[in-house]
Amino acid sequence: MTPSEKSLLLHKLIDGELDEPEKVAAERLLETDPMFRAELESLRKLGDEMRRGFPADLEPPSPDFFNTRIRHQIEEEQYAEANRTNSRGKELPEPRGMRWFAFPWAVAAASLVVAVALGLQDRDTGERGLAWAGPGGQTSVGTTYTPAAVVEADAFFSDAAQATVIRLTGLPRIPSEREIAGHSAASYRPSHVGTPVEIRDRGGRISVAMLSGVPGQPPNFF
Amino acid sequence: MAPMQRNNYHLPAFFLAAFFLWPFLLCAQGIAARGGPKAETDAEVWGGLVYAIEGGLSEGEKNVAKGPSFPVVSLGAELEKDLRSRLGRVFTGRNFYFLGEHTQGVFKQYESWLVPSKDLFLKLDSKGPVKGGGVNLGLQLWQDKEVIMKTDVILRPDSPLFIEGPAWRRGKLLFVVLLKGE
Amino acid sequence: MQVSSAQIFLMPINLETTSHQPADSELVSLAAGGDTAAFDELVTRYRGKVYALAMNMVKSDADAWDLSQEAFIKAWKALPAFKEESRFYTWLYRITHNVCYDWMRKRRLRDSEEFEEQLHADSVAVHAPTAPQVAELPDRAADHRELGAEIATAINKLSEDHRVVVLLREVNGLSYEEIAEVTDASTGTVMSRLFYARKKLQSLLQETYDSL
Repeated sequence: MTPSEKSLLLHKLIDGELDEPEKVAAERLLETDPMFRAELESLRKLGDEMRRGFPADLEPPSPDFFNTRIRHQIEEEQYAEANRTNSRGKELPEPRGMRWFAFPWAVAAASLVVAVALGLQDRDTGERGLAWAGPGGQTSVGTTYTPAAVVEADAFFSDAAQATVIRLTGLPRIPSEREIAGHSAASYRPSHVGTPVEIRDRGGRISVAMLSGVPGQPPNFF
Repeated sequence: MAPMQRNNYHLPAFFLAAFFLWPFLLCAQGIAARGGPKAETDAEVWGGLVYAIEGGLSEGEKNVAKGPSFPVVSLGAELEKDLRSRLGRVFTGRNFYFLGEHTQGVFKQYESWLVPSKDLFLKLDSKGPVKGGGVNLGLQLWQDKEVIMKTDVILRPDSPLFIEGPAWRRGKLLFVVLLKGE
Repeated sequence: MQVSSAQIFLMPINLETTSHQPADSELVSLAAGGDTAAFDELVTRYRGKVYALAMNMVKSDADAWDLSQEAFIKAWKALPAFKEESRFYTWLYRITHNVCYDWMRKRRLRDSEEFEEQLHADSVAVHAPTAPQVAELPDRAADHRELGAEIATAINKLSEDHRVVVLLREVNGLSYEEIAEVTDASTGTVMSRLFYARKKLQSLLQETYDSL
């Protein structure tokens, strides 16, 4: 048996891909060839280390939001598809509101209960939970997710202001001594990976340089 | 004499090369001047960071709302007035001071950042324009190095999004997002 | 972690609420017919595997999260064309692999060399906080941490094709045939890539093994 045939046999052995004649040959080599045994041990160790370093199953962060977001996108697809189907046949009026919901009445009723329970109506009289979000011409919010468990996001539409509002509660207060520095910035172009985006003010001066797009890292300002 | 002869021999070649290469050099210069990859956009949005408080700014706070161009907001007087009025209907009894603003094209294929301030800013991921006008966006609200909220939004013309953020000093920081151009 | 309360009521639960766990094929069949609750169950069942595969490929939890989502949406759209002769997870892995591969290709188009450098430079640090932790004796744990970092670095020195094949085999436990299906390659190519990848890894790690 040539060295390359031995290697092939070894890899198939470790991967459980041997046929019967190959199994016999491999068993014979394991009994008689210490190098073969050592190589097998080395490859097994390599596999073990890889399984230790790279998980095969890893629950994504915020798994509930993970599913919810997929459901929303599917509902959007279904809604768009239904619209396309309708427009091919008889012209139907554009649905008013309930843009995000497949089952408007059931959801509205259920959301009413939840909205009351959670005290979503403690603001001025024009505000409503998004389950009542109005016509398609208004900004609408799908799902909201806050990584910190103590932070909650409530979304509602204000009729009085004709504006959509997301209220974040539970965020830590920013220390008073901290200065919040703003600027008046104009649109920037994307940068190459590894080079900073230069956000300029309306006079063309660089007010913020920002490095983003590094996998897994937050943006850096400098 | 020999070096001079060599120079004379190369001179026409130099001009010949320059003649054929100048269009490429101009192109290269143009690309370099643009300073980044070409990027199509799905929409243009305006983002403003607002300090909402009851009453007026104290003496100590008066430097807060002074940036290079503040308190003038680039939206134009009419739109700014409308925005202040709408803010007032949601956050009643407050005054609104603009701390920063940023108008930004939302790139089709790249992430976009709306950074009126490096203290509180938004990441935008476009999922494309939507029927009837507007744009579908994945939003992440960042405070320093942390994402504090993620959401999916369909941003429509003339329909602002107000995000009520953290408390700061005597009031709250608000992030306002508007779809521009339609 | 909070999800908007109004969203909880979106989906009717059509699945039987018994202890019986429906088979993938049963759920796939329901989902292909438009049953979103059945698809939701498939998402719950496979999100960890899909996310891990994406994470192992792109090495960024935020991007892996978005790409996993994209993979499931593509799977939903493609479900009516799903052929029963494939196993569902192999098919799903193929979609995930393609989604991640496309994403990486686009990123590479932006700036190929810098992209690769970024991946290599950051991969170890990015993996560290998300890998599952198993309690070990302190000295063993230190050895493993060192070796784990070396493995991550070594794997990231492989080409994309080699990296994916070796991960699908060693980490996900796929057969040659399944890897061929996921990566759209022949089994011969899979074997050859696997062989090369292991040899390369062994040579890269030899120094670390010797020192431990």
